[in-house]
Amino acid sequence: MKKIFIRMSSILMAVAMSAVFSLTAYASTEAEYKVVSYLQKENRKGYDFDDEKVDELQEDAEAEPIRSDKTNSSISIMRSSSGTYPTRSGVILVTADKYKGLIPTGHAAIIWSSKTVVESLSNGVTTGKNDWNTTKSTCYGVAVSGTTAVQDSAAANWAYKQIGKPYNWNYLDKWTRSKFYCSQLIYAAYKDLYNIDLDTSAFGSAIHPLELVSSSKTYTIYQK
Amino acid sequence: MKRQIIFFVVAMIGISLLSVCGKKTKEEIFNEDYSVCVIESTQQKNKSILTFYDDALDKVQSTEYALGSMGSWFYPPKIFDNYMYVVPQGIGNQKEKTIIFELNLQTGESRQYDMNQQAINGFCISDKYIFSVATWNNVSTITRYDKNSDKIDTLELPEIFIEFMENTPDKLMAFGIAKLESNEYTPTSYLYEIDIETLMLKEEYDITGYGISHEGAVVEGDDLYFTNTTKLGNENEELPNQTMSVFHIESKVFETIQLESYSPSQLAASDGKLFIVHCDLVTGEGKEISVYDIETQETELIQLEHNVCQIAIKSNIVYIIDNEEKLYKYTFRDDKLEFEKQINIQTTEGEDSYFYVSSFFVK
Repeated sequence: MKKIFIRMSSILMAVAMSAVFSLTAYASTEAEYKVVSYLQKENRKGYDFDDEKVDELQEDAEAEPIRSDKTNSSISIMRSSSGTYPTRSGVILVTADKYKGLIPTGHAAIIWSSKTVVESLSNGVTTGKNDWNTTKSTCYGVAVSGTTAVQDSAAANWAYKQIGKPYNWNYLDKWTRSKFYCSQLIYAAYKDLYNIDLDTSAFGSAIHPLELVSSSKTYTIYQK
Repeated sequence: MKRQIIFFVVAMIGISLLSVCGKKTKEEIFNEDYSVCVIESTQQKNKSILTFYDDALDKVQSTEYALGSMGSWFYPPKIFDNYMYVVPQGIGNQKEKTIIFELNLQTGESRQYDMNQQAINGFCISDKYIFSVATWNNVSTITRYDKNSDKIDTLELPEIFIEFMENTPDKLMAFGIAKLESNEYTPTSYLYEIDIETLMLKEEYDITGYGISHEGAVVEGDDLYFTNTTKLGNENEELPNQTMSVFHIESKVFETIQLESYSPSQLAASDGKLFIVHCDLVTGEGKEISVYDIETQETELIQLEHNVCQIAIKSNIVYIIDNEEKLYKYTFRDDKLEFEKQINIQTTEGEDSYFYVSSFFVK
């Protein structure tokens, strides 16, 4: 009996160790992602955007009429006809795509040059390619009411210049200027430069990217 | 007792070996009999699919990698010494990946070089080094990875956004844009010459007069050819441009070559000719290719029936992808492109995430 017990224990231990080894080999990439995701969730100070409310915002965004964009002058590469994917500096891009991590439903950026956007990611403010019409399944191009194209470009440069600012995990704190999340960065640019408040009342003091589309201070110039 | 110990050890080794051998690796079943490979990727999770096609554009195999946002028309894969290199940025609103992905074109073996920087948006390869660049918080950082020693070195360029880079055997050439408050945010464009061994900045050239944004470059001998995709308008707006420039590296002289169409983007060199794609990479629209003969300095403009977002050339075969998930094969003969075949390259129907064709490469 004792021998059988020892033998069974040995087999079970061997199987368990092999399973751990195999799972580690297969799942290393997934494990790396899961660890990052856990840390981000912990840092979010308990605030989550309500999914139902986000879905409502997306319905509102989809229902927004498409209007012509403003241009620098009568002659411009920036075609002003409605519904054309924007390349003008200062236009706000919003996606409702669901990603894992950060704000889980959506992302926002601002066009800095025709080919480049500025966005706030988990490691700070960076640049990306202006390819949202290709790489995202949903995309809204949004312009701010009451500003000129030159002012919008200045807002994009303001966003670009946020040096050394970390990611703001406290989505309720839109007033801080020492750190930013994606939609807050764009909100801050227009608030600080022109005292234009792009926030809505949907999530209190937190700003979801889709609020930049439904805001009464913006209008939609492109939708995918 | 001794027998039990031996049994235990043998059982453990046996089960461990079984679990390792049971792991199906992509390299074990890689079929090297292909000509072209298309990359489909997603930003919503870490997954990309590489689909390989033979000369007849019949599908040979496909492989998956747990890497998102892999490749782009803006920074397509590069081939160097029988290896393919491409940037996977990861999940779209995180860009958490810090690697450059390498694929052995013969064996399918892959390797990831950790450049220790997120959101890489430009890279190039030499025989000894891998270079990448990313811009964070108004500072562009060029990273150099030594393939032999795994050592990483960096060069920071503040207040400049580096668009992309190209290299010669001993120089790294980086294209950058600046918009400074002191200059009322007027965009200015620069070409930086960096010593590849010391990673020191040697020269800075203001190339605003040639163009603001530049989306393609090739080195042919002593010459760096680059496209001038946009130029500055009277009100500091970007307008489509119609030129290519050549920088004679040793004599440090610039020349400009007029083209017959707008928005020159990607450049590809083959057999003494430069193929210049005319495509707005943001919209994916543009149906022309200029073919420039380096010796005669003559240009032919070829018009196609479809958009040209990226091209790759193998001998006299020209492969093209458009913005509608199609791959085209042409033969280049007598300064003309003769259509051979086109196929639909979308393979991700049924996936729960949004996939797109990001780029492709030829073997």
